[in-house]
Amino acid sequence: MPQAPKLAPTLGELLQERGVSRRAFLKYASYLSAVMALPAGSASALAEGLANARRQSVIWLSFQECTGCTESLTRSFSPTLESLIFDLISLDYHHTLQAASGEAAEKAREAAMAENKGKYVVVVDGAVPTKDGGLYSTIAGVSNLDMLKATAKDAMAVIAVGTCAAFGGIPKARPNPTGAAAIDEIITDKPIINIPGCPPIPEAMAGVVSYLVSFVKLPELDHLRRPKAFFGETIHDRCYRRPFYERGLFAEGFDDAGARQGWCLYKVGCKGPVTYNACATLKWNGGVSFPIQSGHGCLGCSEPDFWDQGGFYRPLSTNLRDMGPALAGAALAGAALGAGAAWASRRHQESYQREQNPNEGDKK
Amino acid sequence: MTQRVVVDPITRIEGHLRIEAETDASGAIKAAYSSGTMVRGIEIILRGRDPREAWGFAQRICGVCTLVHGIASVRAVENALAYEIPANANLIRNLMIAAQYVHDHVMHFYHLHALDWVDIVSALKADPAATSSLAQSISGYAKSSPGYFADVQKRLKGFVDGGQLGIFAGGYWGHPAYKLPPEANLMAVAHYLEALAWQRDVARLHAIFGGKNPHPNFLVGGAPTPLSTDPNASGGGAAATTLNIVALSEVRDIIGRMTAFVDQVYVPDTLAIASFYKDWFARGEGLGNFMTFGDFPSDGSANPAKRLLPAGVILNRDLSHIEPVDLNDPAQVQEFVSHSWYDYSGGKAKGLHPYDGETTFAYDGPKPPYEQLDVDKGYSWLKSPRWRGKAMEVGPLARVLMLYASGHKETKELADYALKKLDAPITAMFSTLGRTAARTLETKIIGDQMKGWLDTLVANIKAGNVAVHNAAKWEPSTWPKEAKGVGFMEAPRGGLAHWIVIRDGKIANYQAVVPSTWNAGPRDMQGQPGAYEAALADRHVLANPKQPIEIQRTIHSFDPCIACAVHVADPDGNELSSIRIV
Amino acid sequence: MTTQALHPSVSPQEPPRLTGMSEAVLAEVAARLAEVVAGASVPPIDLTAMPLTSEDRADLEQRLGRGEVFATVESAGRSQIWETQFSGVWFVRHFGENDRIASECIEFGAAPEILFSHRADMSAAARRLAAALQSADAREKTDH
Ligand code: SF4
Ligand code: SF4
Repeated sequence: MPQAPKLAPTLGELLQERGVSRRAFLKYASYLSAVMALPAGSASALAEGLANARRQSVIWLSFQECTGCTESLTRSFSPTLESLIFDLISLDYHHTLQAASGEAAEKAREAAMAENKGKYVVVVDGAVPTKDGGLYSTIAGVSNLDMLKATAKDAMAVIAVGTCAAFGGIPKARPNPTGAAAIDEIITDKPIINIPGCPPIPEAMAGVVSYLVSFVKLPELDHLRRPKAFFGETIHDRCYRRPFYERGLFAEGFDDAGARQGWCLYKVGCKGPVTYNACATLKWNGGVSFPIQSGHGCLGCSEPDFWDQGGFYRPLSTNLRDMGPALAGAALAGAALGAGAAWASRRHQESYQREQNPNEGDKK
Repeated sequence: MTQRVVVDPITRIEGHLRIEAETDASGAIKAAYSSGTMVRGIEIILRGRDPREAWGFAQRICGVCTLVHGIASVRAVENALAYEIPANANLIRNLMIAAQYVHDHVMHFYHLHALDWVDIVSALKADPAATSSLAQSISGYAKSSPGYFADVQKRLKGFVDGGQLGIFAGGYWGHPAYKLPPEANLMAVAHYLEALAWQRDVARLHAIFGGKNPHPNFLVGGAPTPLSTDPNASGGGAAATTLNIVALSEVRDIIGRMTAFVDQVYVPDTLAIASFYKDWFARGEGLGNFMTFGDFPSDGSANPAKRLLPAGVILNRDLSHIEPVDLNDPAQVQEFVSHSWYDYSGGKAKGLHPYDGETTFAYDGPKPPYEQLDVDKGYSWLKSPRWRGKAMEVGPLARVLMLYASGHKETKELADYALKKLDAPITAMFSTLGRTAARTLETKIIGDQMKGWLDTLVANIKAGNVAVHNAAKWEPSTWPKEAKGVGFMEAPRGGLAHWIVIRDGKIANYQAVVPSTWNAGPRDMQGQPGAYEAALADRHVLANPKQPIEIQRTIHSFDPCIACAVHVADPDGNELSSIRIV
Repeated sequence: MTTQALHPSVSPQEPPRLTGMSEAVLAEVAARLAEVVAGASVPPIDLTAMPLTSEDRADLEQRLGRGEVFATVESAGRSQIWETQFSGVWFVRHFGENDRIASECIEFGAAPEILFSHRADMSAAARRLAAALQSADAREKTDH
């Protein structure tokens, strides 16, 4: 368990001061274990972990980014940004939110690094330009490249949020004018979690941080270092328009009869079938909608190089009907397997109980 | 003795900004230099792509004003192709843009700007009962009981006592420039937290129309959200298909909650806080030249006369005269690079209109890590845009002045009311605090229009007009071989325009000149400073150069968005070998 | 279109209402309840993430029905918990900000954990209660 010096109070003690009971932890923990499909009993373990943790020091570095990732985090409903940054973690450096500027800001970063050596978590949004010595992006006169290396050196783990940090994103789109690179192309000796999306779903970012605070280990990752809990299935697997797809009912334009009846957006370029993300289940902005629900195809924004995959409006060329068993389709066909299939497809999560070495994250 | 004060990073802004200021022995700023220190080259990336998907790329210029580049981009393509869009699509765009204003401005005030005026630590000394009376004396906002403020204070205290100050670490707490009594500080802290919760609700409006926020989806030729007259077709939840009357009632509710917060919290807080800082009505003016491009077709039509926000230029504070603006005129809009890290093929001295814009990376700054920039050479990744050779300020202040000068009734009433409350003349608006106040005023003016646009949209649907997208020019085969156009809008931070040249169905050239480039750009050939630089040189004395809170106040009053300002890079000159490292 | 022929029972023009998912969930509930009876502890079924239409949801809720226990928990927002008409099968609904449903799941066992008091809260309560008695005592003394 990472401990702040001077033995700061635990989260449980802090909240008890304010008259908040352990049920609050359990409630969040059960929500989180539900969305992360953690096995039986993990909600109480998660809640205990949170209550006994101390506010985790987090240093957030912003490089070649658009601040969309940070903005997205502010839209998190569970937990809210307020409870995240005031109750759960200590956000010791974050350009968009922190009070201090200039020298005082840099001092705050250095102090957090010194006090929590080996224990702080670095979150990065944005890619890092590597061409010409990295002069395309500097902070306090220091290149992003140097700042990333120096800050990651004594970190416990690095979380790359957003497709820019995870895979290079838009700065890396053809022809990559500044030599932009993903974080794991630069930092190779630390555990790294990628939470892609442009921007990522806020609850996924907050969820992974909570998991890390509580269990002090990485959740199970896929071959692109994405947490399987959020990136284990495609949008298409869980899309509510899937029944139309199965019946071959496709919108041919954005405002034709099919579009108005909510038919499948495959023919107007939806990338849902090849995109691993949780938009169709968690949805956006407190569950109000997600891109497909509002009529536009999925852009595929959580996949590497999605900017260069041949066009947002060009239909996918794969023969999707061969893409394996589908949850909604199976249920529609009358096979009473829906929930069971969902559960089974996530059973791999039980491996979280195995002792995990965070360094074991799958390599790209 | 001149001293160089360097502030880098400027925090609580979007993007990467560095300010270097020269002060004299008294601490007064004599000259200031504004430098954008990050570049991605999004315009290079756009070249050769399908113009219909440019919005997605352009939108990633900035995730704070997340929709503005999407809107400017689809409008640029539509302008180039003479592509008409249904009135409903314009109304949906109006609603989304207005929600962006309200969202952005409130968040700017509480989460980016407030800590320049509000001392968090002093709030610990406040008396919750007195805070409650203060809050109730300025507003009828429901959350104002002593118990409520006591809870907020308890939370803050636990946070500070825990020893981990997090985002508040290293703030200039206790600086003599903080003037609010503890109770006003506590009230502001409470509203800092309230506004965080409130903004999540506002962002839902974008998600209803655009599927998500940040970065909602847009569509060339209209809006991607089909409308339905069938009340069972939607209503949210898993069965939602298209947008209908039921979903639109959610939009109506959100608008109600948005405007209530503006009326009951944001406007009264601005007036209350400003009343303690009136000296800031007397500094930070800067250029005195203001420009707007116009926006919000109030009836959904393309008729410029129907726009809520007018276009024009005000020179030298002269509110009696408005010059017209033509973005297509090469003599009016030009970008200069004399002090930027770019080169032009015709030499650094020339200015170029965006249709002919070029930008070759040509870094001649110090090699990182560095201590200080050489401001005689290039010192920023921003260019210096000029209107007829003059530096311009764009943004809320420009818009409120334009509305005021053109006789907009609500604006006049609201501005006169606010100025009277603060006992300040209209000339007080030409200042740091005036800029901040203008942002609040226009939030109310624009937010109050939203119900009307929604009513019109709903009336259209009820009358059977459900069109949101014009498919006529969707296929590139219907386009001319070559076309060019400009898409403009009023973004929360100011007038924004994208210029596009389309050839053979692909993007041949793409240039965006954005609000923060107008405001944050470096000096031009004649040495004329940009708006930030001029404003900082206007009566700023640093009480403590180690804690340059005065610089923060004025820079934040512009609400910088630097990723926006530095997105440019040349389609023709991506010759990276030409980099010179000095 | 050939794909339509795969599902002749569904009219292609009708948007789906009851998709069969509630049926599938009920089957899963039965399977898990059987495991619980056999002494296993089984994970909850998370409904939030399932592609259920509102009709599916209503159908599921109605068929599970209400049993003898209904509880409201006020902690970090409201939660509603009820035992369904099938003992050991609990419906747990958590509300988040603005009274929106944040998560919804079906839990199995004697009672959902959120209903139990936590030891840490109990010891804090014991301290609070003792302190309250003490100060009441002190007040009484000064009153006399
Ligand atoms: S991933 Fe998307 S939202 Fe995040 S910084 Fe990059 S462009 Fe912005
Ligand atoms: S193609 Fe897209 S819209 Fe169609 S079912 Fe798959 S994810 Fe949904």
